[in-house]
Amino acid sequence: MKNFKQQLDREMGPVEKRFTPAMQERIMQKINEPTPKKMAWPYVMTMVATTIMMLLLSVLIMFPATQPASTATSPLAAPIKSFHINSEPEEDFFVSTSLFSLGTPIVLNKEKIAMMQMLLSHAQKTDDKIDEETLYADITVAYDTGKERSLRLYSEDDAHYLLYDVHTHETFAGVSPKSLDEFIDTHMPFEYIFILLGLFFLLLFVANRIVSKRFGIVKRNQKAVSKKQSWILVALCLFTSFYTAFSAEKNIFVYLIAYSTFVAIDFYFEYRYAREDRRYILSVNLSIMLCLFFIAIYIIPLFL
Amino acid sequence: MQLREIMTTYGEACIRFAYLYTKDWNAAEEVVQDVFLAYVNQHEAFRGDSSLKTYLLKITANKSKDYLRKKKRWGWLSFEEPPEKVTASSERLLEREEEQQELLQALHRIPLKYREVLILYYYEEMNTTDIAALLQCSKNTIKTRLIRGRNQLKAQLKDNDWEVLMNEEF
Repeated sequence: MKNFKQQLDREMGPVEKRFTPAMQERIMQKINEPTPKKMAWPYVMTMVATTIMMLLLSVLIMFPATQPASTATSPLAAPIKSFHINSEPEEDFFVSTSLFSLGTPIVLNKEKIAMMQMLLSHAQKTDDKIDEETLYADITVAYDTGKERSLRLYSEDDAHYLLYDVHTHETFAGVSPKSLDEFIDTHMPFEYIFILLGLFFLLLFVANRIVSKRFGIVKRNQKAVSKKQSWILVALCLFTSFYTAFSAEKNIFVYLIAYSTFVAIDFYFEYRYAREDRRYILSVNLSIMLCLFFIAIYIIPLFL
Repeated sequence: MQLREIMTTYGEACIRFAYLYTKDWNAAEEVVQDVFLAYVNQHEAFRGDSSLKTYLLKITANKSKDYLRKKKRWGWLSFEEPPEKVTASSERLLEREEEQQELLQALHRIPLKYREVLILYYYEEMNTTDIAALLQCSKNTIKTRLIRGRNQLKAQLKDNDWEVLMNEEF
């Protein structure tokens, strides 16, 4: 019986023929020659990302979220074009709106704008003090004139309501013909969140498979290169979850910082310590998918 | 172990291994150069879970696949000279060469994923557990590829008197 190894060796040529001393010298020369300094892209990217995050944090600090919008001299019931609503208000401070606040989404739904207009029209100035009413929502109304008004919506039942102007300290009372609960519910319905999350994980799985095939990324039993990497990523996930659960404002910068840090750390560990596995490419893939997910989370509620 | 010593010990094994992937000695030489360069840059990351030879073979396999991928993508851009015209005498020479390299030719005709497991199992004499660790897939996948690779090799070889074609438990 012919031996596979011996025959292959015979067919490939004599043992001394291929890896010659001259080849060895060439390799040693190449190793010893000074290599031109290449740009260390991972470090550059990490520094750029950190700088951007610091700038964004500075913006966050310079424009704190609790400044209520300056009040309008327009009448309360003047025509409005849109409003922001925070349906998980904090008793101690008014969470004002900003482009970066996911917790106070802008409402563009025509029915809800009509309802808001109706609440403003039915409200009359009153001297009643806010006593046992429950704080339902913080609303920033944008009038057609370009002015804004910051109001706190209180109610003790589903119909009677009070609007408190945060700036002028005026109180307005009214009776709503429609249910207030439905009106202030701006959260994405649970079914949509479930579907969106399901879609996200499915798309991520498919995208990872395509990218893995394209770049020849092999499967690996260990998900992380080291325990340090795992701990940091788990901590970031926990932080983001707690922030989502307990923050009224849900500032988009915080999510941006968290997920950028997540991607940067994952990329760094994979690139630095397991470059041959090429799993750092999957980190880039994850960042793109997270971006799309956040855009969807931000945009879809506008039209609900 | 010093680098020279490592090259002397494992250089030949790496270049032959690379040739079995790339089917080209020049390419194999390039690959082996990259392998030792990579080893110099990354040997601190070597955790010692496997032997040094297995570690070097793993780098060689990855670098060879990179070369094949690059060749597939940019092959159309090659500036190699067109092959010489085949005359009757050169044809006879080619035929004789093919007979002498029957196993090599047959192996090179098999798809890479089956070829590499055959090489690792029968040529490098590794067991399925080590092959699975090197290629980062499951043992069952390795066994399946071995069976399929062997069947493909059987179809290529005229003579069936090869120990590699005998049925065996992996």
